[in-house]
Amino acid sequence: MAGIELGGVTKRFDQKAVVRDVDLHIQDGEFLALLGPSGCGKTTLLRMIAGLERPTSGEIRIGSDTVASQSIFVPPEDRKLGMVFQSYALWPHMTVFENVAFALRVAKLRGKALEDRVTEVLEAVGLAEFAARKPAQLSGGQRQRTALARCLAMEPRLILLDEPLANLDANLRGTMQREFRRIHRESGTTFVFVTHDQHEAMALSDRVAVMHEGRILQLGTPQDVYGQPANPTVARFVGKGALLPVEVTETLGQGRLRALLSEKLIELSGPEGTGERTLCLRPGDIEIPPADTAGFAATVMSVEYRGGMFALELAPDSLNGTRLEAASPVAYAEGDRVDFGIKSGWVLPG
Amino acid sequence: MASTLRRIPSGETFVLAGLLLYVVVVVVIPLARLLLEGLAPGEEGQIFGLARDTWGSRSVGRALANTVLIASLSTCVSVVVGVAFALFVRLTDIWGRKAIVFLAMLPMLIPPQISALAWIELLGPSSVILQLLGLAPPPGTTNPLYSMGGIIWVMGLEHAPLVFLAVTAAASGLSNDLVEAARIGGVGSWRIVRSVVVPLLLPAIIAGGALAYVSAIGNFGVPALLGIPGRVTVLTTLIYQRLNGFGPSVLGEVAAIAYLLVGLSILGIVIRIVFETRSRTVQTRIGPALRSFALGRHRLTVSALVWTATLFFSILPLIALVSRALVPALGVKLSFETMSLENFSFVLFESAGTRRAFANSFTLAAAAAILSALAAIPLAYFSTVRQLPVARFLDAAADAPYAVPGTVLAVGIILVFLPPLPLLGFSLYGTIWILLIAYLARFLLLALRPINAAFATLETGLDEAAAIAGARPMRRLLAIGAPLVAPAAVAGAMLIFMTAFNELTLSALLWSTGHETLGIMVFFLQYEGNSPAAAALATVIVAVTVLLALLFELFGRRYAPGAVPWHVAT
Ligand SMILES: Nc1ncnc2c1ncn2[C@@H]1O[C@H](COP(=O)(O)OP(=O)(O)OP(=O)(O)O)[C@@H](O)[C@H]1O
Ligand SMILES: [Mg+2]
Repeated sequence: MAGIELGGVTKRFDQKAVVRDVDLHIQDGEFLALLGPSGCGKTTLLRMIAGLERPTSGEIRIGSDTVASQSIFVPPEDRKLGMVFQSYALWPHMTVFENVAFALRVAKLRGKALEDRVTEVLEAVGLAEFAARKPAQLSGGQRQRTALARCLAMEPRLILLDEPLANLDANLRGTMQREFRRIHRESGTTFVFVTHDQHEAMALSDRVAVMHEGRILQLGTPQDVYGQPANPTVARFVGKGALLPVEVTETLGQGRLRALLSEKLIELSGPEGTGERTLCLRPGDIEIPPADTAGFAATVMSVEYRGGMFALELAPDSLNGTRLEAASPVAYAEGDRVDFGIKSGWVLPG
Repeated sequence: MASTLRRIPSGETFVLAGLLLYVVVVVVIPLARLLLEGLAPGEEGQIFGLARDTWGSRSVGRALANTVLIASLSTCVSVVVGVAFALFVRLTDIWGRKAIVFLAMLPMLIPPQISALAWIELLGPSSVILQLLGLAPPPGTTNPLYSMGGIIWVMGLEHAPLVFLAVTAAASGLSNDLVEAARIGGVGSWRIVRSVVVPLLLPAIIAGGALAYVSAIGNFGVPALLGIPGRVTVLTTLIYQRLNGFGPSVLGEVAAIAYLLVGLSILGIVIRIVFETRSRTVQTRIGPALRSFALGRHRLTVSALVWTATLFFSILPLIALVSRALVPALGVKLSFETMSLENFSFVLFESAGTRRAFANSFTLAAAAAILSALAAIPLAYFSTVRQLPVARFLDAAADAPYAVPGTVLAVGIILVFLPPLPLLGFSLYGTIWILLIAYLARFLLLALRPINAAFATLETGLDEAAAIAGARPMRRLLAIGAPLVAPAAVAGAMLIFMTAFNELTLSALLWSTGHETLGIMVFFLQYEGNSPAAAALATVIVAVTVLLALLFELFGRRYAPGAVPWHVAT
């Protein structure tokens, strides 16, 4: 069990900075999701924590050990952590049992103690009856479990997972997500989970670190990151927020603000400060019809049935060019005129 | 976890040091030594005088001219034969294409000295086949092959499979869409082959031709058997004759001659690399593979022609060889009454010399195969997976002794191992060890290539996962890497065994009494005039080689696809 501390970690490949000056503190026993679009440097960051890449500059500490700095580099074999690869990287010539037992053998565990430990771990992931199979004879989900069992066997202080669910179908992904949560709860180990799927990140983690172009833009609980994005990029990436310019006229205290949006006063939340700011609106912030009379008129641009409700794309008359997404329990047709209200919204800092 | 302090020499360091010693001693030092030796000053101390004196001599000049002429013309033969076969097999629907491929590759499996021997038996005055046809030259005439033309012909056929392979490989990379596009444009079949297919294959043809040329420059077996009696000297046989005649005192001069061989080969190697790269850029196949053209009413005629050529090139010489081996003594005509197995029983059981040669060649080939494969596994791991700079250098260095002519390598090895070893005080020259060293240098690459390829296709996560599990590099190599590349290592070892078992070029310069190899033995029996015995021994060697090739084929097809060098897609 160990926390991780990254200080000013940068990684360059041929002069191209792929991870830039990352500071990150991951708490002991935490489940942290590293979320970001493809190519933003998530894998590289994870591999640096694992010791598979050496940072160009910066420091990494795991627990109380400095594992990477300008003068120190601890190779992966000495870091005592576990990692699940996106491809699973199961050793094809070994059985499930041998895959799981390998790290224990390296740690000089032998005989009954070894067998018991492997059996225990295989039972924990529900694979006890597949112990004698080779990876090629397993289904995708079973391979995934084997990879997980392999890294649990050593009871590592830290488990790194690089998009472990990306190769599974949607059903299995749900099952495995619950498995991960359960195992995290039962083992109390620190989990760092890389994903580009925001729903997965929100569903699983205690905190989410949003990465973009090699930097960490925001670190917070899923609710924070979704409801109170720190900047436009996070707002756009997480939950498809629509961004509008607003004029904040008054601070109401306790994070409430009053603002002017196309000549109508609305109540919003966000950090203090009046003047020209940016509003992030989510589908849940919009109500049709409006609760009071001060609604905005809009044209329905498209309608999509989403099981139980309709997702509408609205083109408000007064906010030229902006498109808003809204949810409605009743059906509309393309081209219909509607009135909508803004019941909440987050004004970005700054 | 004070890892900076924990950098005491690990297993990895020891193994790496061992590999460094291996490659430096058997590869780097001999070749470097050869380079230095040829640069020695002349008798009056002129710079590079020795080389200049040597190159200026008439005999060297003649051998150089012969080498260039023979290599160029035999390359033409290889290209014409290789390309023709490749086009017929890949582009037409002649009958029995699989069998033709196998027979067309046969000359590559048979060592050059044995091919030469077989052709001598086929075209000489005592040729059983020519006698049957009534075409045999009158007894007593010199064999027409003992000439420059003979060398060009036999060498050309020997190296035709190299061109054949290059062209068929490139053809499988071409898309049938190219042909169909032309066909839709109303272009006839013959025109498509001439103006679409052949131009696209041209880089591969040139690359294959360059390889045939390099092989011809370094060939020793053919000019040794045909050129020495025919008084046509090339550089490889000149080195052999000088060293045989004058002994180690002419090493400097011989090194200077070896320079010429290196220079001529480098030219071919560069051409080959350039055109191989170009050939790869046109092989961007998407869509279906090239389909063969229907020959229609000409199918029978063309099939018959190609089959006749195949039998003439690949089978008739072997029949001539076997029939000579069945003749009890020189001058006796072969018939069912005179036929006997005496020569076989002589070479297999009676002659102490050939029995010793069997034992020597077997031991040397097995040792070279096993040691090379064992060294190649960690070397490939360190260079391909771990990407350690030292290992990458050693990996690249291992190319050199296979790329230069064998004669050149042998001269370098004599230069280094003739003087007594430092500290130990005895010389390896005149022992069997010098042969083993030469084989280890020459054939390491044959194991390294398939193993490197196998490591390159392994997912990098497999090694990384083992590192995360706490295993140090040597443990990872033993538990994960080695088992996964084992089939490629076995394939490489089999290839080395096959090649080393027949080896002549290195042994011709490095053998000593009691340490003869099979290649040398065939050569000597023929020289002594005991050609029936030479033919019998050659027959046995061919049988063993073909058997090994079939075993290798079965193994390779199943466990190490891509490791079999003569695999051709039909
Ligand atoms: N070994 C390497 N050499 C050079 N460039 C690299 C290397 N590894 C990664 N990169 C580059 O670094 C950038 C970030 O790569 P990384 O794999 O960390 O992204 P990622 O966020 O994990 O993306 P994905 O979601 O697609 O897995 C990419 O542009 C990639 O091309
Ligand atoms: Mg990634």
